[in-house]
Amino acid sequence: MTTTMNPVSVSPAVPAEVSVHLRVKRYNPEADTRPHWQDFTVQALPSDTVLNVLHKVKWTQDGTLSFRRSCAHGVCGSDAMVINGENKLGCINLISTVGTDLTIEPIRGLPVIKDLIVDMEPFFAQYRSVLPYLITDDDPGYKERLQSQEERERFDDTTKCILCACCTTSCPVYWANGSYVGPAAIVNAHRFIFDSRDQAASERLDILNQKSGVWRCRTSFNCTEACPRGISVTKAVEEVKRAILYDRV
Amino acid sequence: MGSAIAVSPSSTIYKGKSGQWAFVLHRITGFLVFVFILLHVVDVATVNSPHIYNQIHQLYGNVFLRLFEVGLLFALLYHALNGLRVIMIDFFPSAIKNEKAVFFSMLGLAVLLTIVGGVIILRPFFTGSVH
Repeated sequence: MTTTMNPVSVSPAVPAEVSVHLRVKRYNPEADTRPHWQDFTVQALPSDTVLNVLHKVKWTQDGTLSFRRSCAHGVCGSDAMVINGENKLGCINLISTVGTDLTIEPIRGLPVIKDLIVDMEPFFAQYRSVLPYLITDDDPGYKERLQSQEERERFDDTTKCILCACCTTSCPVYWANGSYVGPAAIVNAHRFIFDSRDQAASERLDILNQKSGVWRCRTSFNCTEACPRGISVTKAVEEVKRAILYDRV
Repeated sequence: MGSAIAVSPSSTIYKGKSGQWAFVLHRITGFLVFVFILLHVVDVATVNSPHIYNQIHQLYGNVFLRLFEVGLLFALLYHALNGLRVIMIDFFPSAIKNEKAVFFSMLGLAVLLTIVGGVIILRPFFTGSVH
């Protein structure tokens, strides 16, 4: 019996390019008084990321389009942006999941420098304000600071943060009140407050017990929904609230 | 970067999930309940002048103000029940995990109780006992 081979079905399927329509909120401080929308259409594969598509625009259509990116693999946290109304990383969201009609804006609550680039300094200042580093009084000498698996597990979730600002800039309280430290700073405080090796938990809880601290949180869960690392941000904030309330870590 | 400006969030709406809308509705209903309390303080303050007091309360019997009262009832119920939800989130980790289910149960309960209360408030207009 002879088998006729259909060349189309045998060749590895070449995914067809799709037409992706982008609407980007642009702002050039040297020319514009206010942001405006600009439309672009590019051909891309469904497996392309939103960042790939932005690169295509920048490299083939409009070199002035400005956005941040570094690793392009969801690790550095540079390319947080509002994609179709939700905070996401451009580099880990595929066209096949976000769709071919994209509205892209800079993240909210921080001053826009140009196009999708915002001034992250207020965000990092808030991050630094919670003392996000190990503080100890004792010197273990040439030994490690030992920790049980359970003790490590206690703050495992909040070690995942990449400081992309997706959570803080999705928070309605933060949009209205930029003096709120924001979920990202609280997550990074949580990472050390509940670390058995650290000894400055009460100092951080005092900082977060202030007017601009955890009590600004209104549990809207936007941070938890937005986190590209899947951190239970609201849960972490609530744990810090309870640690302050019960004066117990 | 002196000329950097803050982007107005009003141009597009952030697509938060139920938690965001629970928060927004909580703010709106909180404001409505506050307005109701102001109104209530004013109408009770007139109790020493029965003439004015009775006139105001006759006005409250008007179908539009009765409907307004049904709205207020919902605002009050939603604000109270969502307030309980927020307290649960603050104190019980399991409520955080089931935050959406808790929200929709509270919203459902508020709607249900509003319908029950609405029937009672608006009954005079159906039974024709409005004077």
